[in-house]
Amino acid sequence: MFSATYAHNESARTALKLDFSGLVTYYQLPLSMSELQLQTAIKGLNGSIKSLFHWADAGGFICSSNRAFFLQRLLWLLWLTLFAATAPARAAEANLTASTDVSNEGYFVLSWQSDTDADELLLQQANSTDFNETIDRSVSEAGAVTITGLGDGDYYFRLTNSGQTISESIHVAVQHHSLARAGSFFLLGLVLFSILIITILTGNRRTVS
Amino acid sequence: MQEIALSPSVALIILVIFGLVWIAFGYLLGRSNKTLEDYMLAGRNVGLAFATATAMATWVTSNTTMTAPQVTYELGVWGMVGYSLGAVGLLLFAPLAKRIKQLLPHGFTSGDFIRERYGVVAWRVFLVISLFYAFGWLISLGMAGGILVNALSGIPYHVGMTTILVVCVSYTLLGGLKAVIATDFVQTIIIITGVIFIAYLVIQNVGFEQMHTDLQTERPMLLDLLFPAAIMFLFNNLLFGVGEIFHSNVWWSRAFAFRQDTGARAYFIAGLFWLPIPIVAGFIALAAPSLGINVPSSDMVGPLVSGRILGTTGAIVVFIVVFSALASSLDSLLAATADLITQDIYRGHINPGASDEKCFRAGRIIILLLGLTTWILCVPRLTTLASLLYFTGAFVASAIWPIVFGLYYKWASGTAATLAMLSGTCLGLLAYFTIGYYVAAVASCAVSLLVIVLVSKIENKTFDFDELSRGDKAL
Repeated sequence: MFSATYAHNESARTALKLDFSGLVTYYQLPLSMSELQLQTAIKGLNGSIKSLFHWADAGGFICSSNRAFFLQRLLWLLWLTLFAATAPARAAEANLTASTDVSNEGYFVLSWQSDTDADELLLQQANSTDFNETIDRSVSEAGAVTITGLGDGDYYFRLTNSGQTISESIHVAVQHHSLARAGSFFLLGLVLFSILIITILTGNRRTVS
Repeated sequence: MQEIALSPSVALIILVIFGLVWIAFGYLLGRSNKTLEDYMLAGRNVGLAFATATAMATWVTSNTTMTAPQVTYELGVWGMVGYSLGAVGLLLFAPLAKRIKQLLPHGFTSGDFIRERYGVVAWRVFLVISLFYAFGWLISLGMAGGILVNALSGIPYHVGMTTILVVCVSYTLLGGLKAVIATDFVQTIIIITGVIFIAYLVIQNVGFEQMHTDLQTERPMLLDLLFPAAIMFLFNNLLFGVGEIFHSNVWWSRAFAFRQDTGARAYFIAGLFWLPIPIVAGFIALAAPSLGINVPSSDMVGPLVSGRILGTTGAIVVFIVVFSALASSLDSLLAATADLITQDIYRGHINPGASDEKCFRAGRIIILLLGLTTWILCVPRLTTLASLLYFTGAFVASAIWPIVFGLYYKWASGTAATLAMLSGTCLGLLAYFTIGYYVAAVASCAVSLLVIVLVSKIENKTFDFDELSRGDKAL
C-alpha cells in the first residue's frame, strides 16, 4: 500500500489524495497553488519508486504557482500510481507474519524478512490501526520475536526503518479461554490429584499392615 | 540482532573440557562393570547420597532450566509455580519405589512389572507409550543442547546439539548406570551451586519494581492470577510430572538399583531439593521485557536473559549449569531407555533366550543406535521444547492409574489397564490439539481413571501378588 496525501494549510479548500494500492481513489486540483504545502505519508515504496517520487517532489511540484507545470507533475504522479498498481508485491520492503490470527493464550510469534539494509529497525505494537500509541521493539533485519502476556483485545504490528514504515500492518486478536473452562480443568486436576494421594496413602497403609 | 553473551571459542572450550571429563569418568567407572546387573543397575547397591543426587540431577533437566523459563515467559507467575509442582512426582514416587523394590527385588525395568502384572497386551501398549515418551524427552534434551549453545554463544544449533549428544552417548556407553549416577552426583553439586549463584546475581542486578511496572504495562497477563491458560496448566503440569516419573524406566531402574529402604528416602529428599529450582530458573524470564530482550523462540528466553543480566561470567555459569543439567538427564534417559529396549524388546520379543552376556553387548549397541536416532530427529528442530514435551503428556498421564492400582490393588485387570492407557492417550491428544498443550495430561489422566475403574469392576478379577514374586524370581 502506498499513499501520498497533499493538503493545504489551514485555509485549504481542497486536497489531493493518491492511493497506490491499486486505484487512484480521488484527486482534486488545489485552487491556489501558491499556498500549497506538502505533507506526505509513504508506506512501502521500494527504492526505485521512492527515488522517482523524490525527484518529482524536488522538481518544484509543491512550490510551483504554474498550473500547467503542476498538471504535468500531477500526470507524472498518476503514472507512478499506475506503475505501483501493477507491482503490488513490491510495495512492502519487509514481510511481517504472525504464527496465528487468534491467540487463546496471549502469546504468538511474529517473524519477518527484510530485503533492505535496515539502519534502525523497529517492531511497533499498537491497539489500533492508526498506531498513535505504540510499544516499540528494536529488532534485526531477519528474525522473529515471541510476544507473550497480552490481555484480550486486538493488536496491530508493523515494522519501521528509521521512522519509515516498511511492512504492512498485521492484526492478531487475543481471546483468552473463558474462566469457566479454565476453572473446570483446574477443578478436574484438583480432584484427580486428591484421588491419587488418597489411593497411594491407602494402598501404602494396606500393604504395610 | 541476537545478543551473544559468550564468545564461540569460550563456549567450545567449556564443551570440550566438560565433555572430556565426563567421558573419562565413564571410562574409569565402566572398567569395574563385570555383569549385566553392574552395567544396567550399578550392582543394585546405590547408597542414599548417590541415590538422592542422581534422582535430583536427573529431574533437574534442561527442561527445568530452559522450559521453566519458557513456561514462565508464556504463562506468567502460575507457569513458574506450576512447573515447580513437578516435584510432586518425585515426592509421590517415594512410597512407590519402596513398594517396587518389595514386589520385584530382581526386576530390571518398568516393563517387567507391567508384563507380570497385566499380561502381554498391556505390556506392549505400555512399551509403545514408554518409548514414545523416551524419544520425546531425548529429542527435547538434544534440542535443548543445541538451543542453549546457540543462544549463549551463537554457535550453530546443529553443532551444539551434535557435540552434547556425542559426549553423553560416549560416557553412558562406556560406564553404564554407574557412570550415569557418578556424573549425576558431580552434576548435582554443580547445578545447586550454580543456581544459588545465579539467584544471587539476579537479585543483585534486577530491580523488582521496574520488572513489575514493565510487565504490568507490556505483558499484564503474566502477572494475572486469573490467566485462564495458566490456571489450566497448574494441575496439568503436576499430573504430567507424576505420569513421567511413575511410568518411566528412568525412575524404575533407579528404584531397582538403590539399596533396600534407600529409594523412598532418596526420592523424597530429591523432591524437596528440586522444588525451588524451577522458581529460580523461571523467575529470570520475567526480566526479559524490562531488559528489552527480543526472544525469537520462547524456549531461548532463559539463556538470553541470563546472558544479558549476568554478563560473561554469569553466562559461563549458566552454560555450565545447563550443560550439566542436560547431561545428567540425557545420560540417565539413554541408559534407562537402552535397558528397556534390551530387556523388553530384544530379550522379550526378538531373542528370548539371550544370555546376560549377549544382552550386555546388545545394550551398548542400543545406546549407540538411540543416540543416532535422537540426533536424526533433533536435526529438523520441529517445534519448541514445551510443545514437544507436553505432547508426550497425553501418553504418560494415561499410565498413572495402571501403575498405582497395579502396585497396590488386586482388582485392577489387564484389559482395564490396556483400555485405560489407549483411551487416555487418545483423549489427551484430542485435548492437546483442540484446546492446548496445557490440558493434555489432565484429560488423559481423567479418562484413564474412569476406564480402569469401570472396566475392572465389570471384569471383577482378582490378581494374586504372589504371581509377581514368581515372575520376579524367573527374571
